[in-house]
Amino acid sequence: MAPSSASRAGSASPLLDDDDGAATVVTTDGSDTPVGEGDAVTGVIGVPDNVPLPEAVVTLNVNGRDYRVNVTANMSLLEALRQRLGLTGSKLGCDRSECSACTVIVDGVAMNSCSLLAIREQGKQIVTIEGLERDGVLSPVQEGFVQHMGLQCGFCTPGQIMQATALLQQNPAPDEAQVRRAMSGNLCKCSAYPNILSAIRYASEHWNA
Amino acid sequence: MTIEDAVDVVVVVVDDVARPAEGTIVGSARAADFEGVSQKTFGAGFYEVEVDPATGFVRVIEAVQVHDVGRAINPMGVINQIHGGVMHGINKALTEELIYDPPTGVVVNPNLDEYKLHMIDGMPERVQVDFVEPYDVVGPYGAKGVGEPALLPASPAIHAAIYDAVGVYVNRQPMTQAAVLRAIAEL
Amino acid sequence: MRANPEARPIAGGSDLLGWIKEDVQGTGEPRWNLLVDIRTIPGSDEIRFDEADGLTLGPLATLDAIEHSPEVQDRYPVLSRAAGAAASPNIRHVGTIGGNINQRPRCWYLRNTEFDCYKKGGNFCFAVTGKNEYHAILNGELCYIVHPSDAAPALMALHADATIRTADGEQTMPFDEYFIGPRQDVLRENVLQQGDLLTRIHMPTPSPNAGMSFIKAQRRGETYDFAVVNVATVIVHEGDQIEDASIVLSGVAPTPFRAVAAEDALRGQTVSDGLLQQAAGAALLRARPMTENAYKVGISKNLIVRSVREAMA
Repeated sequence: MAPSSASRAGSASPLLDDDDGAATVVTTDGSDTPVGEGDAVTGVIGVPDNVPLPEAVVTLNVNGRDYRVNVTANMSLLEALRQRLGLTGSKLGCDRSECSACTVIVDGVAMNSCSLLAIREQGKQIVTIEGLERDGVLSPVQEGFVQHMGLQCGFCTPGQIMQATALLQQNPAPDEAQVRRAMSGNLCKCSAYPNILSAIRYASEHWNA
Repeated sequence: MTIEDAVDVVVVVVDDVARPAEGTIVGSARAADFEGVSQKTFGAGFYEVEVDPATGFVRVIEAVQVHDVGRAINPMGVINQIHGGVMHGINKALTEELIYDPPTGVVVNPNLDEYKLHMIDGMPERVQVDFVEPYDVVGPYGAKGVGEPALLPASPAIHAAIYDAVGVYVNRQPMTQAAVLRAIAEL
Repeated sequence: MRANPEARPIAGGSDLLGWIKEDVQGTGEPRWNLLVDIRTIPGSDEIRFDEADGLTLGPLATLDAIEHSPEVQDRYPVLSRAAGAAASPNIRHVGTIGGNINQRPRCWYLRNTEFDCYKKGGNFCFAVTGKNEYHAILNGELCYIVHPSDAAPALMALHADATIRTADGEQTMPFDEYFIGPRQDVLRENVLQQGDLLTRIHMPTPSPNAGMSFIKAQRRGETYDFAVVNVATVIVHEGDQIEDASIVLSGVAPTPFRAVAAEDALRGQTVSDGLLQQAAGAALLRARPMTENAYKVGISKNLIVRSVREAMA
């Protein structure tokens, strides 16, 4: 992406420190000027660099807070989260719904954020990996992945954790076949699968503890 | 490159993993030679497969693998590496292949849709891994590598296990459905 | 949408966004620059079952909703299993049945910008001279794609109808006529023209004596894989006596392939191993495999036999 996007992502971090818990309406650089206004967006696959893209300011509810975000029409939810909001926990893997490293929970359902258009996700409750930990305490799934080392390189881990969280929210005590089926879209090239199963078993046992 | 060139691996394939009696030995173990480099590393893998003769689909149902790792600096990490090696080996044996268009040389499967890797549902129902820790005189803190050795036993073991199941050697990797069915047809 | 050839309707977007990101284009395939959100159409995701009328699906019902709908699971298990066999969990959560039916083929030459093939307005099928392990064995002409949908053969096996909205108004047709082969128009896989929409899917209540089966042969595990061959079968039977048979395969031809010869061979007969072999053989009699995909003929025959057995079990 354009270097400007990277610096924007950096500038977004102060708002994440705001811990009052109330929904706050902010722009991503803390000013009243929506981010990206007038910025040329380059490097978007499928669109020539010289064509200006329609832009819009949308309100995304991420991890319980409303953010006003300036997005281009072709921007995926993942790009909006990573480049506009600085929430870089969700990872860009294949960008084609093939690996599920970008999994986020939208209205309680796990979805691939790389294949959702940000502009269409207004008014939905989006939860990313950054929204799982509460007051410094890891969620049971996160704790399970740490305890059982359900990762090697860690790139797919945010997606795996979000997928497992969505599964346990619907079914806190899944059997192994159900876990395998629910997790079957998440690719781990390091293949830490046995430990991922253990981690989810741990999370299931500690789900309401 | 043969298996023996890369690393010395003893692969024993038996129809019942619980009683490793008769089997096919692919490759052989050799004594280590010291030339200022790390000692050779050893490992063994045991694989049980199910072959569907109607579709040529091969499913690995059990994998057991043991490695000589020198000293395990992070035992959990070692186990994780061997787990990874098991699945990499299964991928290599069954699905993973870069396919080129012959006239143009263009790679036709440059994505995770056509370049097949197993996900969690392709993991064997039972995976058991273990390691032994003979101190290595060359490696740091007595350790040897385990990342690469761990993925070697699966391919030859699955190759031989398919032979045990349907009576043909599939002379190709990956052993896709097309390859398995072709081999059965040529029986 | 009708006036703008670069406009496309978007529902779940799983296939469509991938297509745009791959930048597939050619003289016959304009780059899509305008997306029209059709999820806002009220009632377009309904799943309604009525004992007398049968099952009505809005095309925007997600695969996940169809898979887990109690009525579908109970009365149309072949459809439930087909919907659950498609893609990965996350795609089924957003992917719609209409999208699954209308998705573009997965041919690796079509989806690669390096190859200007028939489907993009070119004049060559690169699969003929190249790697064709997963291409068509039946009805291939000009273009040798296989139809990628898992839901489509199930709908055809259930004798479903498609209602489409065109410039001339609404029109209803069986799914047998909905899909078109490359000879009719190589740029499309179904009857929908630019601006047309699939608006409703309807299928009759199955006979209480109907047994159903859906089997998918794929390259790995049970997930995110397009079928090498899949078979959807509905058999109406009294014990071993077959009254009616409906067998549809996908992954073998540019459209979902109804095995008419097998259905004819089975209808009114008493099931036996010999009969099943004969029926499966008849269905694949006209198969013309390419250089690398002859194995699909065997898989198709074996799966037809297996699925009829499973449906009658």
